[in-house]
Parts: sequence; structure tokens; C-alpha cells
Amino acid sequence: MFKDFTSEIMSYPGGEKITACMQCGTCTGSCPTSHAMQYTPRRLISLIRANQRDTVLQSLDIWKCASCYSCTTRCPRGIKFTDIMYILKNLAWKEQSKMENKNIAGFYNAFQGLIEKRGRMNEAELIMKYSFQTNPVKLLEFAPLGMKMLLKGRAAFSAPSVRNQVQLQKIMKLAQERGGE
Amino acid sequence: MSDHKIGVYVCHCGSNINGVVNCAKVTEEIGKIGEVVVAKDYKYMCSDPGQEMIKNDIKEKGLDRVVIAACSPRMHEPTFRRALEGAGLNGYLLEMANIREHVSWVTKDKEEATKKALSLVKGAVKRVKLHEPIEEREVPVTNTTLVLGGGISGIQAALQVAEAGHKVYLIEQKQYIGGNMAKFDKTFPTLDCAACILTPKMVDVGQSPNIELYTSSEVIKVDGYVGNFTVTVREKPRYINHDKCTGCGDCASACIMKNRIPHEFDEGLSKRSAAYIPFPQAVPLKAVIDDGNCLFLTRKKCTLACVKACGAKAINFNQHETIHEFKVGSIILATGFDLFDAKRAPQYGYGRYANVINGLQFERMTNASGPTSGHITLADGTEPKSVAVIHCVGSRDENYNKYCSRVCCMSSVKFAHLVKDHCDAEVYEFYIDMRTFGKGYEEFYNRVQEEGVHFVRGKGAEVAQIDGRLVVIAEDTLLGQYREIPVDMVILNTALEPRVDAEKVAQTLGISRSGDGFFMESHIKLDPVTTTTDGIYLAGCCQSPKDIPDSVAQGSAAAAQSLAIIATGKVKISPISASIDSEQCAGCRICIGLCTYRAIKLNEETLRAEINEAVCKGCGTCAAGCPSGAIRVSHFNDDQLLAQIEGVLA
Amino acid sequence: MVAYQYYPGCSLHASARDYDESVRGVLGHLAIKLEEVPDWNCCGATITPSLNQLQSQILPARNLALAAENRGDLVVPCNACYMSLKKVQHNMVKYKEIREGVIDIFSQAGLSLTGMPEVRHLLEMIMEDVGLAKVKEMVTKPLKDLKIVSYSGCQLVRPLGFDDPEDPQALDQLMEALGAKVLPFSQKSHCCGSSLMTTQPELAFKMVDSILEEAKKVGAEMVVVTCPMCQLNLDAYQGQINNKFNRTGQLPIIYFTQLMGLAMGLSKSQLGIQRGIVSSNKALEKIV
Ligand code: SF4
Ligand code: SF4
Ligand code: SF4
Ligand code: SF4
Repeated sequence: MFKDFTSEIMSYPGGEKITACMQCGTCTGSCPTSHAMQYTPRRLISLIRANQRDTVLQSLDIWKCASCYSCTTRCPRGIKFTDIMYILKNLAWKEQSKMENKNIAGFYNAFQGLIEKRGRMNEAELIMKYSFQTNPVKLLEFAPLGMKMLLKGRAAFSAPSVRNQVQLQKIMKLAQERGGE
Repeated sequence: MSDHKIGVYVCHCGSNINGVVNCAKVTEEIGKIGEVVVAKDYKYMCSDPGQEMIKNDIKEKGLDRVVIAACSPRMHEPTFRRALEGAGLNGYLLEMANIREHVSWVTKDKEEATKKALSLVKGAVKRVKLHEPIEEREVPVTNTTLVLGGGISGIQAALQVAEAGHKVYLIEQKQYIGGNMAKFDKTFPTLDCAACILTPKMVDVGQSPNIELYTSSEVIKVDGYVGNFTVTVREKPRYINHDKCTGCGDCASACIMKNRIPHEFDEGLSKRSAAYIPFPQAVPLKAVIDDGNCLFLTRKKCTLACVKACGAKAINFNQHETIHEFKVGSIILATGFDLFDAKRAPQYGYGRYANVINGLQFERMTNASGPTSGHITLADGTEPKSVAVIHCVGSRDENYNKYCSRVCCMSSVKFAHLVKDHCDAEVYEFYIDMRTFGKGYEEFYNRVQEEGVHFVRGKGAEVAQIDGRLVVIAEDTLLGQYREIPVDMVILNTALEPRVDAEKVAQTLGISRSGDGFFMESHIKLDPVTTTTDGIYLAGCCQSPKDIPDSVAQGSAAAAQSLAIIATGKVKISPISASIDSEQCAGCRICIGLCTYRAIKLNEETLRAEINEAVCKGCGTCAAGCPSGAIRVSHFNDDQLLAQIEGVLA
Repeated sequence: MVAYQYYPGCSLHASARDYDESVRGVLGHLAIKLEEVPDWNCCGATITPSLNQLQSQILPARNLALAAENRGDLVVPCNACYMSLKKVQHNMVKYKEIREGVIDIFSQAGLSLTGMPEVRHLLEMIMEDVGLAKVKEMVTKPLKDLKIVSYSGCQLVRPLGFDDPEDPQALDQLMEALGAKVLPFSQKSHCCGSSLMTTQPELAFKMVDSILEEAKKVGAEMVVVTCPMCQLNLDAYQGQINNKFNRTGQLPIIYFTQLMGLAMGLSKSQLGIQRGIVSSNKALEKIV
């Protein structure tokens, strides 16, 4: 196993350079959602290096990353922070009990479920599944927009899927079994 | 071949070598070889007792060859050569086996290391038998110096050589000397005005009988070697007769292009004419006509208002470029730096928002003789109520330059002080680390903190414009919060970079550059002034970013190097050089193209290549490349190398 | 006729049907043939990589494997798909464990990864292979006086992208070639928050709002986009966002291919222009 959280993060693709962070905060300053974070990107790195694994993985801040890659582009030390966010989310997801936000869990579950099943995404179905998994009242919130999309011919009625579902399901399952690294 | 008497000395280098290599074992094994009459190991061979031991053995046991197994020959080969010579043996009858860098520092397994060390020593023993005594050569020295670059470090170097009574050619690319320092207003940490301390030195240059100043000039060719360089310089025409021009500036006032060309000296903050005087204290205080913008020179049509205005009849549109050739003993490179172009980091809005400026622009703004007569003003002419200074723009950043530019923390603090002093605006400094390491620097930082400047620890990530106001976005890392701080003006303190033409200059002079692009010194700590080419020295920011005190110090150090050469009157040249057997040379000229030092020429009469031994560095590239095998490098000839390999493999 | 492989991605078959229509319309007009990758699957966008790294390699990699069976570069119209595909390609080269993991899993499902096609965004292909000169030549109805801002979005230009990540130029240049007036725009590559729109709309709304507000402030009549996600966020949610932040004015969000089509004389309906939630009729009045 790992000596500490830092070496754990460093063992994943994209996490290698975390010890080079000089805590300049460029990542936070470049991040469109850091204003809403309790632990900013820079601070998350600090927490990782201070071995505060639970604090990091339980934090909802990691789910606020929009994957915009601003932090990665601008980091003066070449740290791929977007990738680190993905790593953190992966770890938090595996330790599901720690996921407190039902909306997030519900949406990610719905999305992933659809892909694993059919291999293609359909927004209407995704929203439906998500609402049922979290709070069916949500459907009402989405309804007006859904109607508009429908009228403009921008909603698909049939659920799209890949032809070779067997193959797709198999490779997804194999990947899942490998622990997701 | 007659039998030799070889002495082998194995150095422990403290525990550096002995901690990994079993030195006693190596000594014992090597002592078994027939011709090795002495084999000893010792804690520090380079120490006095160590050297004495060698000398005594040479004298008492009649050694005629010496092998030393120790560190890299780079540092101590000269030391041991001197020891041999002290005992009356030619210094080249020595061979060193590098069992530190090549063995103990890079091999973990002790047994392997000992085996490897022994092989290297065996190779050295085999080889040293074939060494021949070589005499060092001396050549006389030309007692003149060429200084390339007229900024503060070049000026310092030129003045010191000149004051010692020797001739200096000072070559400057711009139309004036003084470099970047001439643009500054105040200097940290004492806040004395740059002009007050620089102008006297510039004037001294102009008046010194020993300094020949060439502005608007550049070096285009360098031939020769230490003590005997021939430098070719191209001087661009200024279209002004220097002897007649009085520096009155009437031409500038009359020029049709008046107030139409962005003025480089003011970093584009003011406009000038095509005929102009760079700045009021310029040395030389002579007008210059800018051939890129002068209507007469570009299109042949102009009323020639300048010519009419010039009472001294100094304007001469028939000037052409002049080529000069100088014979000099040494060259001091002081070509300075370029400022990082902030447009390369678009997130800071430089070039997009009028009130985002760089450090040099701010310097010009605060300068009493600058474009705003010393007033800090926004684009609309009003005074800012809040100003942000962003550190490390283009420095300490893998996307641009990895290094720290060293001067900008302090200049940023100075900017903050000047803002407080001139208009009492709020100042926010966005920094990663405060680097205020020089004499009186931390004290100055402390003082400016007390003046009420806000120091925000976090790198400015972006400059935006929100509701018409500039906003600096950064994390205040000490608070752990994302912040948007609205300000009226942003000063980007940008990196000091190698000059755009650094590569060209390096090639012309035959010197190297380090990874960061600056010119490379011989040794980063112990020899930061000399280059790897003998007789070419470095001063100031062309070697690495530096503040004024360091630039001046290095300028003086480079001058001392030049003066030392002059004082000796002659220089020793390494006797290791290549030579061509003209019988075997086919005249194919391949070697001529291979030699980086331009030491080989074709003898037009015999049509055979010839090597100038004074220029040759003995690198052996030509010998390896010669298809006829006609080139031999002394002290590294085929027999010697083959014997060494044989010994290592035995 | 030059041929490319085409990976439309899920959106272009559903909510971004208009993008698909305009892509096919314009490329057909330029005599460029698109062959849809057979049986492609979802790239996983930003969701799968958040949950399971290996799965997030597997999904795009299957598309690459399928595409590798045919000739020609792989053209991708969606920024998010482009990033996913490029990233897997990058990872497969850089990380041995990922490469071997993917190949091993594929071998158990009858897939082989013999080679990888060059992955290119549609805009990249048009700029480099068609070229501005050819585009200009094809323009029959210049977009005279149409004031636009070009919004490249984030994933097109960031680490593995093809344009300047801070100040992208390609879309500006293309729009200028069509005759549009391109206004300076500081939000060019700011993120629209697409991946947060459903779960944390309060974050995404703010991001969209600052993009739209800046566009209005500089006087844009339209925002030009290169990605179905950006389009959906900026267009479909605009009403809700305007309500939330008390904003006035509506800004049509249009695909660059739609404007290319118009400038080249194709009809609005051929290009799916009527499908925008915010109507672009008014903005386009002067040119059609
Ligand atoms: S920008 Fe890079 S170096 Fe700076 S705090 Fe963030 S991760 Fe660390
Ligand atoms: S990639 Fe995520 S953490 Fe990085 S700047 Fe974008 S939203 Fe913030
Ligand atoms: S060129 Fe003539 S007018 Fe111009 S500064 Fe010299 S003397 Fe004065
Ligand atoms: S001196 Fe200061 S401002 Fe300049 S690069 Fe170094 S840390 Fe940054």
C-alpha cells in the first residue's frame, strides 16, 4: 500500500508532480468555481501533502471542478490539477459512503448507468433517470426546458444505443473489475 | 620499449571515494603490476602532504610516470602537474583515473565499484607509459580590450580598464550608452536617482581618452584567440556628422514626423521625431536619424526640415555603414537582457487594457524627465487611486522561464513605495515569495510594509475588466480565499530574459549558453566571470538576471580578468593541439567545416589543411572526422587511447 | 473528394441536431466527405473520468479502435469529445500501464487497437485543410456588419488543443474570413460550466452569465460557438439565467458552421438555424 496520501496520488497518471507545487495559488485564481470552495485547489494540494485523506475525499469541493483545465494550463510548476481532481473524485466515488450530496451521486450514477447499458447518451432519458433517482419533483423543474427542446426538434424520442452492446458492456465491466486505475 | 618506473596514488577523497571503493584493495592489486614501483593510497592526495609524497617518491625512487586515481581531472589535473614539475618531471607524464565522478558517485555496489576503479587505474597505467613530455606554449598579448554592451556593467568594466591606462573599444548596439538603467527613476534600496549615479559614469566614458565608443554598432566577426583577437564591428550610419552636431535638438523640433513615432526609450509612452536625441542626458549627446521612419530615407521625399533647421550643418544623408577592425587581447560581453513581452501571457491583459503596464513603463512614468514628467497617470490623464503590482510574470513559470529573475521582488517593492510617494494610492502586491536578499533589501521591504502597502501572498492569475474597472484575480493563499481586487492600474513585473540575439552573439564569439538561454560561465560558483573560451568574459545580465550592485561587481571582475592578461603580457596556451600530417592530407577540407574554433585553414599553395595551434583547443573533432587519418592530437593520440582501452579491458 | 471519418458524439444526434445538419451541409458544399465511425459510443465526457479512470480510457479508445479500421483523420465537432479522444491518445502514448490495460481488455472482447487515427476538431480541420483562402473564395453572402464574439470554450484549446489556450485565434480568423465583425472578447476560452449544469446549477449559471454579459457589453449580436455543450448551456438555459440575475436582452448562440453555411449561400433550414431556443432571426435580418 501507500506510504501516505501524497504517494498514493503520485501513483496515478497525472498526479506525479504534486510535490513540486509551490503553493502560488494560480490554480485557484484561474478556477471558475473556486470562489465557492471551502478548500481551494491549492489548499487541496496542501491537504493531500499533509496526509489529510478523509478531509479531502469527503469534501464536496472536488465535485465542483468543471474540468475546464484553466489550472492545468496556467500552473507554473506543470501540475495537472484537473487530472488530480479526477483522481480524487475516483477515490471518493469508490468509497461511496462518503458521498453526501445526493444530487451529485444521483446524476453520476444515472449517466454512468446509461453508458454502461447502451453506450450512447440521450439527455431526455438521462434527466428522467436522474430525477427518479434523486427527487422526482425535479422533473417538473426540467419540464419547461424539455418542452422547448422538443418543439425545436432537439430531443430524441428513441433511446439511442450502440449495436454491439455485448462488446461494450464487456469492456466496461472488465475495466470496472480492474479497480478503475 | 624500455621499462618505466610508475608511481600510482589512490585518493580516498575523505569518504567520497573510500566510502564505496576499497582503495586499499585497488592499491594492493595495482602494485602487482611489474612497472609499478610505488602504489599508495592516501586520504587527500590534493593536500600538501599528499603532493609532497608524490614529489619525494619521484626524487627518491626515480619515478618517470605518475598515475593518480582520484576525482575528475577538471579540477586537480593542474595541481598534480605542478607537483610533478616541482620534482623535475614534465607535467604531462601524468595520467588521472577518475574514480569519483565515474565510479564512487555513480556506483552503489561496493565490490562492483572497486572492480571498476581497478580497471580504470589499469587503463591509466597502460596509457601513461606512452605519454610524451610536452612543453606549454606562451603567446604575447595585445593590451587592448573590447567591451560589448554599454549598460551599467559594460560601462563599469570599460571605465576600470581605461583607468588602469589601457585602451578600450566600447561597442553599443543602441544609439546611446546607459542601457536599461538609464531608463530608471529611483534605484532600490536607497532610492537614489538612477541618473544621478549613472550619468557621471556615462560622461566619464565619453571623456576618457582611453575609451573609443562606438554606438549604433554591432560585432559581426571574431577571429583569433586569447591575447590576440581580431574583432570586426559594423557601425550603422546615424546620418549625423558627430563632429559637427552640438546636440541642440533643433532637428527634432523641425522634423515632419514630430510626435508620430513611438519612442523606444520611453517604452512607447511618448512619441518622437525621425531625427531625435534619445534622451536629454544621452552619451553621446548627438542626434540620430531613424532610417526606418525618416521620410527622406524611406521614400526620398521630404522637405528636409531638419537640414534647414540645423545651424551646425551636421546632417548628412550620404553616410553609409562603416566596418571597423580591432585587435584586442580580451573581450568582455555585457549585452544585458530583454524584458519578457507580457503579451505572451494574454491572461494579464497587457496590450488589451490601457492601464496594464510593465515595470519599465512604470519606471519611465515616474522619471521626472519621462513622458509624464514624473506623474503616475492613467490613460485618461487622472491619477490612480489603487494600483496592483504582479510579481513573477514570465518568471518562475514552466510555461515561460523557469528561473527567478531576482530583481523584480525588490523593484516591485520600490514601485509600491513610489506609488505611495507620488499619489498615495492603495497598493496591492501579488507575490509568491518575497525575495529581498541583498544588502539593505529586507530593511527596505520592511519600510514599505510600514507605509501601508497590502502584500497579498498569491500569484496574480488573471487581470479582467469588470464594469469598466480592472480587477486582479488571485488566491490570497494566506487566507485560503479566491479574491477579486479592483484597481485602476496594474503593473506587471515581467521577467528578465536573454536578449533575442543571444544565439547569434554566442555563435559569433564561439561561446555557449546555459539551459535558461543566458551566456554560460566556466563554473557557476567559482568562475562566474569567464566563459569556456579563454579571453572572453561575462558581466551583468547577459550571464543571468542581476541587480545593479551585482552587475557592477561583475563588471569590475571582468575588467580585472582583462587587466590580468594585460599585466602578464603573455598567455599560456594549452599545448594539447591537433596537427596535420601534410603528406597524408588529401586536401578534402572536411576538417575545416568540423572545427568549432575555426582553427583550420587551407593553405592555398600546397592545397593541404593547416592548423593554427594557438587557436586549436585540442578537442579532437577534426581527428575523428579526417577520412585520411592525417590528423593527430597530441596527448590523445591513437596509440595512447588504444593502450588505455586495452588496460581497462584487461 | 477528400474523406474524413466523423465522430458526431451523442449530442449531435439529439440536442445538437442543428449542429449536425450544418456540419453536413457545409462540408457537403465544400465537397468534403464524412464517413461516420461505425457503431461509435459515447466518449464519457467529464463524467466517466470522474468515476473510473480505466473506463474513461476504454470508452474513447473503443472509438479510436473502430476508426482505425478505416482511412482518414477523425473529425470531431464537440469540444468535450475532442478532449476525451485526444486525452486517451496522449495517455496511451505516455503511460505504459494504461496502454497495456486497454489493449488487454480489448483483446478479450475481440477488439484490437492496430493504430490510432489523427484526432482533429472540426474547426482545426477547416482551418488547416480547407484554409482561409478557400473559405473566402466560397463566400457568396458575406456576413457584412454582423457583430459577433467568438467563443471557443475551454476544452478545445486547453492542454492538448490546437489553438492558444488563453487567447484563441482560429475562430476569430474564420469569422473574419466570412466577413463578420469580430469584437474583442475576454471570455473566449472561459468555461461555461457544462458539466455542472445539472448537479450544481448555481455554479454553472454564474459562469454562463459572465460570458453572456461580457458579450452583450462589447456589443455582440451573436455568440459563435464550436461545441454542442456550450451551445446548449448558453442558449437553452439563457432564459433561466436571465431571470436569476435580472438580465435583459437575448443573445442568439450560433454554431460556426451555421454562419459558414449562411455565408456560402445555404438556406437557414438546411443549417438548422430555426432550432435555436433564442431566435437568431433578428440578428440575421441584415444578411439574409
Ligand atoms: S498553480 Fe500549480 S504550483 Fe501554484 S498552487 Fe496551484 S498547483 Fe501549486
Ligand atoms: S479544471 Fe477544475 S479545478 Fe481546475 S480550474 Fe477548472 S474547474 Fe477549477
Ligand atoms: S543635428 Fe544639428 S540640429 Fe540636430 S541636434 Fe545636431 S546640431 Fe542640433
Ligand atoms: S525576484 Fe521575486 S518577483 Fe522576481 S521572479 Fe523572483 S520571486 Fe518573482
